[in-house]
Amino acid sequence: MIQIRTVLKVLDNSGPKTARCIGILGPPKKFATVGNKIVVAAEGKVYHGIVACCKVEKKRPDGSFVRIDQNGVILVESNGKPVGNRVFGVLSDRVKQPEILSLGRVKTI
Amino acid sequence: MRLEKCYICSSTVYPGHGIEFVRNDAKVFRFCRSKCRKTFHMKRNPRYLRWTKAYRKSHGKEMAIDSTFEFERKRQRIQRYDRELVGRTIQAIQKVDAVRMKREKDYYKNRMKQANKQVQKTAVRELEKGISLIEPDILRMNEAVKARETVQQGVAMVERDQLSGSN
Repeated sequence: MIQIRTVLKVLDNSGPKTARCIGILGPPKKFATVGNKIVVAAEGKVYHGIVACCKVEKKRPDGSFVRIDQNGVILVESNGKPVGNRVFGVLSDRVKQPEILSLGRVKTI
Repeated sequence: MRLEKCYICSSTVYPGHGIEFVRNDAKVFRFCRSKCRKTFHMKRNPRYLRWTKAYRKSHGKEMAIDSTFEFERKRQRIQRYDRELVGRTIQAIQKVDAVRMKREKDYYKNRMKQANKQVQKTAVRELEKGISLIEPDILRMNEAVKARETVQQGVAMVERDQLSGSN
């Protein structure tokens, strides 16, 4: 559950280490979760970002829960192209953009 | 669907149970219940927790090395679905389980054989230490035995006299 003012860890090699969420894209909602697009501010610049992992437990179709240890974001330009070219850490398969999934090791969440 | 083992207690985690925790280094830990999950986050080592299988196996309480465990290893090879193979596998599972149960039972029996000697040693030591608690009872018992023997001797003497008297 990422909301405005949430500080996320940047999981790619674009430069900034952390980014703060300043808005959620798409239809108006309070929280963003894995796979959603958000607006982030990092090192004085504004980017879009895709939430890569989220600490809050996610329910799986079989009824079990998955929990990840960090809130992570992948920085992306407004047109959807990723800013960095490598993604570290946990990249969930709920991220639908293929140009981002190809940058890291995908985990089935 | 695959039945996984809990990272802490090694019990089976069935679908819909437990929590799967993905660490930042992408290592996955499965827990069967919140007890195990909380223990993990307390950074406890399952090898030192008596109620886990990891402890029991590392301390020789349960069979840890056996050829029957090889059958349960996860293989990276993907098998094409074959109905007969599945049927044979299910039968093999039952047979391997039966063999493993028997071997675990024998392991336990063997382990308990050593335990009997230990029980005897402890009993002797406890007797030596606590003999003062039951000394009065022992003395009373000995006296009762002696009294009974005296009575029996007396009875025997009387019977002999009677026999010699009647002759």
